[in-house]
Amino acid sequence: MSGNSTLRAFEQIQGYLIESARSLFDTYGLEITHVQDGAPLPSTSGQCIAGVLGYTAEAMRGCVVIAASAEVFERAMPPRILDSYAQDDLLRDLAGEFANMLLAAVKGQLLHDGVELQVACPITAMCEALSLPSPSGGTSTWHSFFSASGTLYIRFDAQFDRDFGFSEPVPEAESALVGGEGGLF
Amino acid sequence: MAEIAHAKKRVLVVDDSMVVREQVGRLLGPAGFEVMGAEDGVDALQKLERSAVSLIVCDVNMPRMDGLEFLAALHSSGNPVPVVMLTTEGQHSKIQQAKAHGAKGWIVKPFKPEMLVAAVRKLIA
Repeated sequence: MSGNSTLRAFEQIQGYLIESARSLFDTYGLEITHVQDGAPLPSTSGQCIAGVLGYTAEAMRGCVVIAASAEVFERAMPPRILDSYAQDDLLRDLAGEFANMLLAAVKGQLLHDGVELQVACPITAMCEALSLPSPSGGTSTWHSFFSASGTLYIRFDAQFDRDFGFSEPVPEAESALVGGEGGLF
Repeated sequence: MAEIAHAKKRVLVVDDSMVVREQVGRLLGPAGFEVMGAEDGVDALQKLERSAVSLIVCDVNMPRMDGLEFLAALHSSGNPVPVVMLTTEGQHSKIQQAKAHGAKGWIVKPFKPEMLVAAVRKLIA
């Protein structure tokens, strides 16, 4: 696949990411508005939390990063949970779970493009004034989203092999379930 | 008799996310169930050696032992406790794999609370 085609594929994935992020956070009661593509390196002061989740596919690999202040994740936390465990542990856990659900949503979209992601388990970090430089290789884009509780940052990293390309949908793309679906057999 | 009656309403939630374990607990508790948690398949199998449960709600992607491996181990052991998978995964091949190992349902995160509660109620009826 040519470099231009890879970039077009990456742009299409960003579209999946932005829409999936809006839908996901809306489900958790936090309305977010996409403000900017290619957001500058986030270096928020105060406590910042990041969730990172790696993935691999046949000719593509990378990770998704979600980062925001503690206030943003507090606002998105399901009700009445913050009084049960140490708050920091819960907030980090939620960041990892959001990374998980977000990448799953993108994964579902990519099945229709013939790309099947295998996903790792998320890792999380929490510190003051978190700095998250983009990787030097591959393709990477930050997105920033405005919310009433603060700014949410999401980054999608991808390294494409020379033979990467979108193709016919994976056979089970149409039958795959998405968030909110399912039930008893 | 009281212990058996109590065990009829106990649900084990297997998920490496404490938020998810708490979230499911906060839903099923008011619905009349006692909820206990396990952080992965290994932890779940250990807890099942000590406690009887009426139903298991289980994630798929977990460290040490994932949900499908846990389901296979449970199935091999002959434990008849019904299992509902609660996961971000939605692919048909994984759902069929779970079904082959005796899972009774599959719900994709982010889940609808009423769907999960209804599924649990139906299986523990």
